[in-house]
Amino acid sequence: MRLNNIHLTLVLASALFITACSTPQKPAEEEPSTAVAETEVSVDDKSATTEGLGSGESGSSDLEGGQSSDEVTNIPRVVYFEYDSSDVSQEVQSIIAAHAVILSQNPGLNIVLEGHADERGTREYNLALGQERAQAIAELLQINVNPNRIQLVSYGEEEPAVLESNEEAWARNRRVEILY
Amino acid sequence: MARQTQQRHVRQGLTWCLALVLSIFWVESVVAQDVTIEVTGGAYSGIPISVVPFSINGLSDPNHQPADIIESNLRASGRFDVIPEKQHLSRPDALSEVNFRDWRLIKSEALVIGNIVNLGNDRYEVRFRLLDVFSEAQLVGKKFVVPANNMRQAAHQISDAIYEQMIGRPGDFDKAIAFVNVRSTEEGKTYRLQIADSDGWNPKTILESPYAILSPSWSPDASRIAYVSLEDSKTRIFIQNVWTGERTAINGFEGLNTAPSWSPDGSRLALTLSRDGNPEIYVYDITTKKAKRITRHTAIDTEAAWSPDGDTLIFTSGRAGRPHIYSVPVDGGRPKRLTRGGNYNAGPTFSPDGRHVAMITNQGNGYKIGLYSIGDVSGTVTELSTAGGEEFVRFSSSGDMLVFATTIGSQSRLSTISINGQVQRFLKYEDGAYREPAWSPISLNQ
Repeated sequence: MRLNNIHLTLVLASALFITACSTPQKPAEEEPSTAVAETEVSVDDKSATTEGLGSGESGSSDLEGGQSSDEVTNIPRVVYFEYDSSDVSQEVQSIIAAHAVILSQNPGLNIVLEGHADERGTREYNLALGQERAQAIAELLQINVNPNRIQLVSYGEEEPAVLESNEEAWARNRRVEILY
Repeated sequence: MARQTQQRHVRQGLTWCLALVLSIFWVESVVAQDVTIEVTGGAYSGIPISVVPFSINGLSDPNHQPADIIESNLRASGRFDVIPEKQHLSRPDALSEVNFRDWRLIKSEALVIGNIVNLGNDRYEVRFRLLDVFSEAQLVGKKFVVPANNMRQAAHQISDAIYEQMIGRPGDFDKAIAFVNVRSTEEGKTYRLQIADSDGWNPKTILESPYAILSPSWSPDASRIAYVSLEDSKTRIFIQNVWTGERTAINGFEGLNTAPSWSPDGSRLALTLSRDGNPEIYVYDITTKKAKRITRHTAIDTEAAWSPDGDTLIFTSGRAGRPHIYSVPVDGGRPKRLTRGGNYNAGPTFSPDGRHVAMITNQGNGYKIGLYSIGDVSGTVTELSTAGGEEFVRFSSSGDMLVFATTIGSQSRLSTISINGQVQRFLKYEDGAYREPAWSPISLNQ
């Protein structure tokens, strides 16, 4: 049922896309081979350091991570969800379909989907919820985009967009960020 | 009133409605440490016991008065009615000075006395005796020789000896609590995985990271901790040696790698993976590094915890539309729904006797500690804690206490609560937010 809706919304999305492209956009060819999954953006001076209780020895390791996102379109890069839900609304389906069009025309672009939850409930359940949300968006994108180009990350409730505890903040925090 | 309550122990016959007043106090005096609060008034059922301040020769730091630490511990367990010092009729520090009649008069069934002698070179001899007031007999007595900075540890060991003698199972006080401390600066957040005494004193950092740390789980021998780290833009599970600090990432699976829970035999971790498309429970063999899938459902399954016999896993599942607690045999089989009360039950943990499951429950008035009794087909979850901003609850190994994170004002702190719901004690607070506490299964001082 959801799939049928997609084909419908693709038409809408194409229209949206054309509108988006009528203003000059900067396509992604500047970084054609960027594999976002292994992006070179390193988090300078950020590392995890372990220590023991025993001898006071410590070890450290440098970590890689980060995100890259060129301003390719003005299609919304963040989509929102209901409480404790990974159901995708009609509006979000349209947005994702528009991204799918761009991504299918730019095969060099890889995508990271970051799933987030609001702060209510347990942190672990919210990590799972963030993953489910990212997965729900991935399933829509995969209709037009090779799954190998899509990476999912869940941050659960750990990286809120709005640092407040009210309905409005929670609504803004229940989200998937679409990075490419 | 606020000034009056800024004492180390706030002991009042509190009714539930007073909790709000106290919340305000806690926000105002975040440096208050080791605050014990009794949350029920009349129906108090602990063993009446008196702890006489130890006579101290040449040691002035009040943090080192063992009687204060012992009193706070015994009270926090919910199993003792500690008679306040101001009611004591005498102050003996040796057996020869004890007049048992003084203690019968104030209805103290047991009496703890002790003294500390400075032996020089930072060595102190600590002696204590636990006495039965009615039989006028010594129940247990011990002697420790410790440096000044181990005085608290000696007091915790004395607490455990008293507890074991009076209650019949080992106490939880000379054990450790692992937790996550988060501090924010303009440069960002710093997450620390720390291990402290059971009252929150003496925190030591075993991992410092700019990335979120979650879900510490002790190995049964307390030598290692498994946890989740969000470093490297992934969820990853690490096993870290508590003593050396060495750690290894156990995963490498696509997608979620979260919610580790150590099996009672130490050989496996239950965990959550989404490598097959959706969060499911797996059992990961630490030796063979193979993960066996346990659950199969399109809804979220996560937060697995082991039964004490290692035969059953309980977990959170969204398969009924809302998160509820389910159980499943480790060897496979159909998951069975346990909880029906409330509209959000998650983060389950088994009591050490296997008879109860504690969890985070929301029954319409906030996220609280809930208790479910194994075998209760009605699925009732009884609320235990007070504030309504609780998360992450774990049992002490005696099963008489739970440790959890709770929000006071906008601040996340750690607290214990006795299993009978009567006594709540906040762990020592330093700075930042405190989360994800887990009580060590055994003492680290063995």
